[in-house]
Amino acid sequence: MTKAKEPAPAQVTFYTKAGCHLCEEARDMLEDIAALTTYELTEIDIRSNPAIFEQYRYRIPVIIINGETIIEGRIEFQDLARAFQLR
Amino acid sequence: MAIQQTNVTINYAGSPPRQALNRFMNNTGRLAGNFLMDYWATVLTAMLGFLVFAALSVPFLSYLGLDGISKQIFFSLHAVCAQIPSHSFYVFGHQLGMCARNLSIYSAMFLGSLIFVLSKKRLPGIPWWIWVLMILPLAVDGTTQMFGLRESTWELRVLTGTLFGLANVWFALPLIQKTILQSTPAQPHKSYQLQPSAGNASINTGTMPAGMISTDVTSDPIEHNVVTNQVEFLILPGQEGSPDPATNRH
Repeated sequence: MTKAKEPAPAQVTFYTKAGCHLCEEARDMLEDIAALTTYELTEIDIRSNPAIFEQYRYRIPVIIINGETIIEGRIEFQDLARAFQLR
Repeated sequence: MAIQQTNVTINYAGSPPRQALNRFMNNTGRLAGNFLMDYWATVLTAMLGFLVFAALSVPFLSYLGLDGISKQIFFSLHAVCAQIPSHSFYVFGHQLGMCARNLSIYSAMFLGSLIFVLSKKRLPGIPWWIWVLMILPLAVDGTTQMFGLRESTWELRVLTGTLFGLANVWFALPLIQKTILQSTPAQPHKSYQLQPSAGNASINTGTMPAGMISTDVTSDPIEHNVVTNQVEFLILPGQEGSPDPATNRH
């Protein structure tokens, strides 16, 4: 008897920066999401790379799920949950 | 137009503590009301200034490492602004507490109301059609962006927001002041107040300008009833001068 294969956890990339209040709020939401589903999180400080900094400096927090869904700026929990297909 | 001063005697019913409470509430309410009638524009200006100051302080506090305070102010300001990062200004790499459009609106409202207060609330208002013309750019810029027809720029947000903020205070504040002046009786100047003496009236001090009418109102000692005894003096041009102390007449 073979066990049903579980879906692979979502790959989440989180662009952030220290001192960004919206990023702190988004991180709290990601922790709440972690209580509901599993995902692999990659957190990137935009100041680590000048190109990434230029790309995201006026957009953070930016959350990319499975390389497709992008949520950024002032993030609402329900939008994030929908992106994780929880609602 | 007669100038009236009323003295109203109110009978407070109930037990002495209740009467004291009623008297306190009545006096406090009257004081607060009088204060707001006199300083409503100053209070409004202070509130707007506080809002703008709070928005500007966020990045500076973050820069100084006071993230705890900065974060509280930032999230409090969400009550008045969406705080979209891409629509906001940054200082020291930290986002301001309000987006560019809202910062312009509130700053313009603050400066406009400050000018109104400094003009001793005499700044003339604008007609409604100029008000509409001034708020129209923001309406067009905001709605077209909201429906995804185009993306605005920070210059447009600042320009339209400033016009909107200025138009609102320039239209509303003089109108409020005009309404207050029309709805409240003017108080006679101390030097022109009349004092009743044995059924007649006498003028205390000073010289009444031509055309001024003054009225004295006294209250009946019997509670609940206010009796108005009006004595009017109409001084016509050419009759100015101190009253005759013997006759109390000009």
